[in-house]
Amino acid sequence: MNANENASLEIDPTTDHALRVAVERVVRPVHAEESRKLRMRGELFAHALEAYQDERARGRDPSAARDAAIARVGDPADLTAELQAGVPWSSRWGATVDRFIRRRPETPRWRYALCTAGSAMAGFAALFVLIGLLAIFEIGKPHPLWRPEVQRFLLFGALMIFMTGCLGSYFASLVRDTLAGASSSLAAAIGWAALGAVLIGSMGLLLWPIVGAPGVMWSPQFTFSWLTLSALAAIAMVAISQLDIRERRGLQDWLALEVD
Amino acid sequence: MPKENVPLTGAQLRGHLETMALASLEEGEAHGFEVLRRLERAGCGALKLKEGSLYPALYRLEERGSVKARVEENPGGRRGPARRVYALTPKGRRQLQRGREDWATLVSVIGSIVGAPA
Repeated sequence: MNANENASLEIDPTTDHALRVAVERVVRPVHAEESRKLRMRGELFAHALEAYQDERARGRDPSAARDAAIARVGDPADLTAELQAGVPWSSRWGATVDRFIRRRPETPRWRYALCTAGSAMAGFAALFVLIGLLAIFEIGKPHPLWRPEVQRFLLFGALMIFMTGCLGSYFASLVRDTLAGASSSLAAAIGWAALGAVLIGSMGLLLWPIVGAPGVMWSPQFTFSWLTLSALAAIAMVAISQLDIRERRGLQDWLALEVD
Repeated sequence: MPKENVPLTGAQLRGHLETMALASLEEGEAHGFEVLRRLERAGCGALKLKEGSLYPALYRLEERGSVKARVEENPGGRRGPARRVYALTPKGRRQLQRGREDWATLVSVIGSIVGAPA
């Protein structure tokens, strides 16, 4: 019997688990975007399963076939290094950003929100300082834009962005975790759309009194712009969420494995 | 003529794994396990690779555009996770040709030095 052609050869749960752990031992340490790592997991697991079936076809019992299949895949440390060497820099960068913006399960939601918003604000502050320094370098004195009242305005704006970022990060992670197990994509999509619309809508309401011309708020032009931006944010959030949900559904089983 | 019953290991072959993978895909598209089976058949059983090492090689080839991959629709009755099937691209054929020329040069040069029969 050629087990590789006999698709009815059952894989027992112990073998399935052992092969998954062996694959996860190889892939988990690889620093790359999760979508790329999910592909690696899928392929190596499919290969390990075929190797197991091949070993069973040679007459080995399930336990021996399992060990032989894992040995055939190769040394985990060596294979991790080979996989890592082939990850392009863009994927490594994506993994670094991803690790930064995703909340780990053990991190309290409030700490994640503060860190995310604080990092974003620090980035903006660094940008403003850099622009100011470049202006001094360019024209030999501080740019006229850096008047005290403008600096107060920028500080107030930065604080508003920080507060909105905190609330947004907090509720985004709450919605994300709540909807991760949603059986209905429609329910998840509605949840994300509502979050996007509320976030961008509230940012517009908070910031417009600061940056908008007096007396323009709630004019037809303002209302149209505000509704359009909120709708675009809702659509963008839905699109992002669908990709995220699809990825998380595939990942959860792998990340739940205990790998030494 | 190679010695009988002396397996060629991954360490000896690593530098040429990509060329071998491309050569195996010349027969037609295949998933990783089938590529390995083709390599073992062509090597008459003397080829002993750590099978997982094939996938980093395939990913490098894919990154370079030498092969393209698609997810295999589950053929009738097959269970298990979906597999990715790899196929040679025109760029891959050119890389394979260069790999063959490089190998022929290597064999010729090293053979002359060590006095091995051609």
